[in-house]
Amino acid sequence: MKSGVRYINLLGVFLISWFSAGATTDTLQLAKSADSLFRLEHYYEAGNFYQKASYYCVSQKNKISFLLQKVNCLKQQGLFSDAEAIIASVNTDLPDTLLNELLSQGALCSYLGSQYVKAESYLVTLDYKLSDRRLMNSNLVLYSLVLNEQARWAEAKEKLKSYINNNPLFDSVIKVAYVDEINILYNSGRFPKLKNPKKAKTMSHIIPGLGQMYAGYFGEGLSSLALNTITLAGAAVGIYFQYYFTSIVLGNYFFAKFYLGNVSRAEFLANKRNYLRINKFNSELKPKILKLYQ
Amino acid sequence: MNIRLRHISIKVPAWLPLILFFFSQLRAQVPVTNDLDYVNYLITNNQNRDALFFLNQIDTLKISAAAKDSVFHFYGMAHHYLKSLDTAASYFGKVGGQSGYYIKSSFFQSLNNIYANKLNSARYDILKINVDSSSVFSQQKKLQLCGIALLNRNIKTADSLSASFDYASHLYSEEQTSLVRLSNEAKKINKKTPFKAAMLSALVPGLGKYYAGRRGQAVATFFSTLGLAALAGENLYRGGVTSPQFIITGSIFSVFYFGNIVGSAYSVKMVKKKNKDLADHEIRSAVHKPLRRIFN
Repeated sequence: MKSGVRYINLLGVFLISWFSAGATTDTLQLAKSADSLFRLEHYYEAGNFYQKASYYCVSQKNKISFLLQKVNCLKQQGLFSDAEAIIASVNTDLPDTLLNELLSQGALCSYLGSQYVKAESYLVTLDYKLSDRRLMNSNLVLYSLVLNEQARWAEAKEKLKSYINNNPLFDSVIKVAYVDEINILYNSGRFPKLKNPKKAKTMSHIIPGLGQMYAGYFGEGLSSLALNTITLAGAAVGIYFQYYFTSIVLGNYFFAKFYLGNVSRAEFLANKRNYLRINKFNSELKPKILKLYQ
Repeated sequence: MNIRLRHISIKVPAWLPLILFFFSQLRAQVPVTNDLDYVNYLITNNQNRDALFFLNQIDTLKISAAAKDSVFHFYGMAHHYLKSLDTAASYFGKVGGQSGYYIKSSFFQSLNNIYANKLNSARYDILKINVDSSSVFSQQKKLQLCGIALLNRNIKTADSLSASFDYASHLYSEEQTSLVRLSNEAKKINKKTPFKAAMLSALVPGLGKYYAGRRGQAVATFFSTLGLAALAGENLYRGGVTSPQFIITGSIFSVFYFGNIVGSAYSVKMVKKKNKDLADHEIRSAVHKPLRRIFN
């Protein structure tokens, strides 16, 4: 019975929102309808009405605020690059508070969409443009997460320390405790040891399979070494039995395939190992960093 | 008022239908031009799906004929950018002759039919437009008709249309020159035949591919077939005709040799198709670019 009434109520709210916002240009009405649709989790429709409200809105503050609501709707739909594109289209000649809201959302959308370089560029712009330094402080946690993803842990550590030291909500005892925690988390001894893909490639050029072993894939390296050795040995045996053309043609064909494949595989595996190590380390850091922000 | 849903009975105020009716009427009272401004803004910003969302909310039964034409035009533009060619052409075709969007819609209707390869419809869409002979539209009309004739490989008609190109405006002069060049290129008939390519490849492996215009492939084919021939020859010399190693290597060589003959014949066909597709692409973009300049 209760769920039936709820269903009828929700349907009523949806229909009223839809019909009343349909062709109107009244921003208040559009925003109200968008709010109702958002509550009903109709994010696409809500986003459209927020954007329309922003288009017809005269006040710059409300314009940005409605656009940010649209961004929120896109985030709810997992459309992070679309959300970022909306922010990128806005003129950033804005007062500090609005600029901070806008660009920090740009950085967050880029971060959520795994566009870490773009996220950093938003934060660098924000850092350069904001005259009120206190506002920038609230973005430093996100900044550190972005830097973590790029394996720039030393810089991330400094951002977090700066966030703690300049946070007016923390008293001196908490500050010391948090800084200590950061020092432990970001102890350089804990940083994952990253493999050099170029080095792996060169090693596999010299001895097939060595680059894979260096990247931490010992079995694969060994099998690559065996495959290349067998091909060369087969060619040598062929030559010994005076099958010159057969040995040269087949040996050349298979050895070229295995040898070149082994070189590019070594580079790929070094990159894969780095990706896994960075991800593992960052996923351990992330919850601890986010705890600071709460 | 009681509403019964199976075993559930819900009390709904009697005035609720009236309220819903009131809200539904709001849509008719707001001037549609405001909404179209916003739709135009969305299309300009490449948010075509969102534009369609708002267009779908306009009740075309409750608006004037002029507003309806504008709505159809914007439907056409949104579908055009979403590359729904047939739907776009159909909406553009609904725009009435009295509308300010009529000429633009007709040109874009033809363009969408060109992209959809419906060349007869595209030609008809253009011919129905009446424009002043001294206007840019007249030159665009000739350009578009010339493009359609070239896509049909009707060189004579294309030449007669291009004879009246005036090359006077930067809006279309470059594309007029391109169409004349493409018409001249189309006159040079490609006499290469798949049979000749196959014969050449039978004579010297790879020669057919060289003849087809794929020089890199020709060299690679020649050397790989030569290598396989040497391999088969060596195994024949060492093991004899009945030896398993000769049967294997000889078979591999035969597959390569005859495969290359068939491949060469196929290459001529592929190269011809590729050249035709490239020319068609150039013709379509030569028709499209001036339209964007004229109507933006």
